[in-house]
Amino acid sequence: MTAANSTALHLSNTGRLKHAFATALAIDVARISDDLAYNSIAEWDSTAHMLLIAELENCFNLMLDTDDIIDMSSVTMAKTILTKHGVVFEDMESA
Amino acid sequence: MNPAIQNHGMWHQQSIADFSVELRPLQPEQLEMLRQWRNDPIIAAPMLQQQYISDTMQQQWFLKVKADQCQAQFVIYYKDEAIGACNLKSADGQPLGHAETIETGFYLAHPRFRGTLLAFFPALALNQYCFKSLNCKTLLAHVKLSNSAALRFNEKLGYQRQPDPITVQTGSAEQGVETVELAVFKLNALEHQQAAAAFAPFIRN
Repeated sequence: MTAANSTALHLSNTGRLKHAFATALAIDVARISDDLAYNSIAEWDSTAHMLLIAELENCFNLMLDTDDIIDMSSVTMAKTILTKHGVVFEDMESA
Repeated sequence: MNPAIQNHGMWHQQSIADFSVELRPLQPEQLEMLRQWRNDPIIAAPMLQQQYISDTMQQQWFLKVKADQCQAQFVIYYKDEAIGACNLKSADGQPLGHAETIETGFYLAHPRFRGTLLAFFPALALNQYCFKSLNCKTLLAHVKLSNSAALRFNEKLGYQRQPDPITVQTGSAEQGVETVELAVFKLNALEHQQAAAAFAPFIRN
């Protein structure tokens, strides 16, 4: 990835979301797709899920409630939930 | 409903409210709900007893357990919705409150919550109650060796897997006897506190 692309990745909310997932799950950002789901890979277990919640809250400066934490079952659901909290995702805007 | 059941619930009537859930003593009018849950193939699959539970069997079971002070039966509530069931059983023959070793069991019936982080909350609430209110020293759990999700689940709750599994026989002469290997887990108060601390930041509302 070129420096320009990596900068863009870090500026977009989608990029920030993917980076948060990659950090919490300790996997490569290339493995983060919309259909990645909780417990679908060994790395996304309950411990990683708690790390993910903390990472997303820190990254997007918000606090999730219990229902949000329970329902955050996939990357797509994470976008839906964060959108509810006012985060705008570029790829969801055009949908 | 059997009149012997209708007017008399469990011997224990105190609810446990902790970790964002409430554990309420099982009431007679909930027996059919539990029977439907327990007969669901998805819920029955990891259980030791796989046989179909009839209405008569359910009522007979409740008549036996409701006054037994060596065990307690609860329904799990999240935001006032019944989502599962859990229980405590003395493992040393002493009534709850005097038992040093207690075995716990639970299942979530609501599909929205099965396999999610919420699954840990009633288990944490139950375990906390055992150590803080019942003054037990050790919690026990038995898990089928084939149930890898439940094995990991107990480890996250702080349970220590014991080196030697046990072998039990289940079923009946009519339905066939099956030999099952179970992993044995033990938990003490310190291990529970350490596990609970990891979940504490995520106990919201």
